[in-house]
Amino acid sequence: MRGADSLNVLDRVVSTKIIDMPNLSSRDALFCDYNGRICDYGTIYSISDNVLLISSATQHEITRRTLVDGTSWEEDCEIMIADDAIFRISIYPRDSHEILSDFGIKQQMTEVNQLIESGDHLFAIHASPYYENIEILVKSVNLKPIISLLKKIDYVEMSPERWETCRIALGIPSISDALGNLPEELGMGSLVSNDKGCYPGQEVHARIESRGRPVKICCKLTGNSPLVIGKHPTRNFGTISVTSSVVFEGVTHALALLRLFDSPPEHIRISGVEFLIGPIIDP
Amino acid sequence: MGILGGDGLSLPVVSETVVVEVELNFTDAAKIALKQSMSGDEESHVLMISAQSGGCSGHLYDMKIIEDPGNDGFQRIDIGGMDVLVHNKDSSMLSGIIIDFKETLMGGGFQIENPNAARSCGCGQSFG
Repeated sequence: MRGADSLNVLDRVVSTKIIDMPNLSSRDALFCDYNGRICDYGTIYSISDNVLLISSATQHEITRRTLVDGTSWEEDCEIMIADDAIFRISIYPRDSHEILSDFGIKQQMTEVNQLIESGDHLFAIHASPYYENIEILVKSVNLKPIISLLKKIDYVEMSPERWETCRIALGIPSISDALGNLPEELGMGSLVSNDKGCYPGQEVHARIESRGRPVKICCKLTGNSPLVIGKHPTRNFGTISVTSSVVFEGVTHALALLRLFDSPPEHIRISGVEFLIGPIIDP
Repeated sequence: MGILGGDGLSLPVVSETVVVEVELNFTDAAKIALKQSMSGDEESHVLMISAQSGGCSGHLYDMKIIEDPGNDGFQRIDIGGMDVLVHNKDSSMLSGIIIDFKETLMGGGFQIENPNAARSCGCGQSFG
């Protein structure tokens, strides 16, 4: 997004307060519908009078349309397509400072979500509700050299299939888990700013805040039998919705939305098979 | 140079919008109120009705009297000798709206009813 009003245009449609973002910083944000349910999420990068938004692979076209339609005729904001032009490399390093010095960055990165420009690249220590990692934003023309450099210093490139396995096993929800659910149910309540005024879904989020806690919550299930994505009837939890599932080394890892109890059971029985219930955030 | 500039980066701008011929419906009360608001500036000023993202339901209305910006990108509708402008990008969202004016001690003023809206906020300023 290019133009002085870009951050303002984006702030009107996200549930996260971003209007106070300093230059050269990043922030995670949620896009919700008028029912307060998640329709996309992404990371916003404030770069002078420009805003770079990286949202989900499945919802980004709808989000882009929302931004185009929602820009007033008198606002200084152009929406551009950066698909395949800018890439984000997420690194889970052994030592953050070591990897930054490998890229010639001498500046000490102490603040989370602060951006550091180095040549054509942007570096950040990114903190999401689930994990912290190093991000490098690169132009497509620089992607191969950067990956080669990372491999040279012994970093391993993870395939999408391998990442999917790690994600579910660690209990990190993706857009397929989040879509159509409330932020609190996904542990994303920190991305809802109750002090920013009206935005799509704000009335529902305010009601949830006053109620105190969600009715359902996303949990991690672990068991020894494959679990199909979709709805499953259970005795104790009623019908549950399994949103992600993977089998790794004979163990099934899945994410599912379960009804919240005061004293939650440790196990759930699905189609006669017992699964261990765990929290989604399990670093 | 930076990530968003220099060589190797040329980003296309998204500009396509659905444009329809705008029809606006003003009640008699709204026409009288608009005439009073124009206060004799009808020759040089116009009423601009626009929409932008925001509010509980997704979009917000905006109405303001401004100096005539010309016709570039706008549709001009004559309402009782006064010009009302709607930008082409807002035409599909705003065509067919009914503009009324209510005088009450609380919450009076111009009010918009939008047949294109699937829902609207209780305050009447947001629609989706």
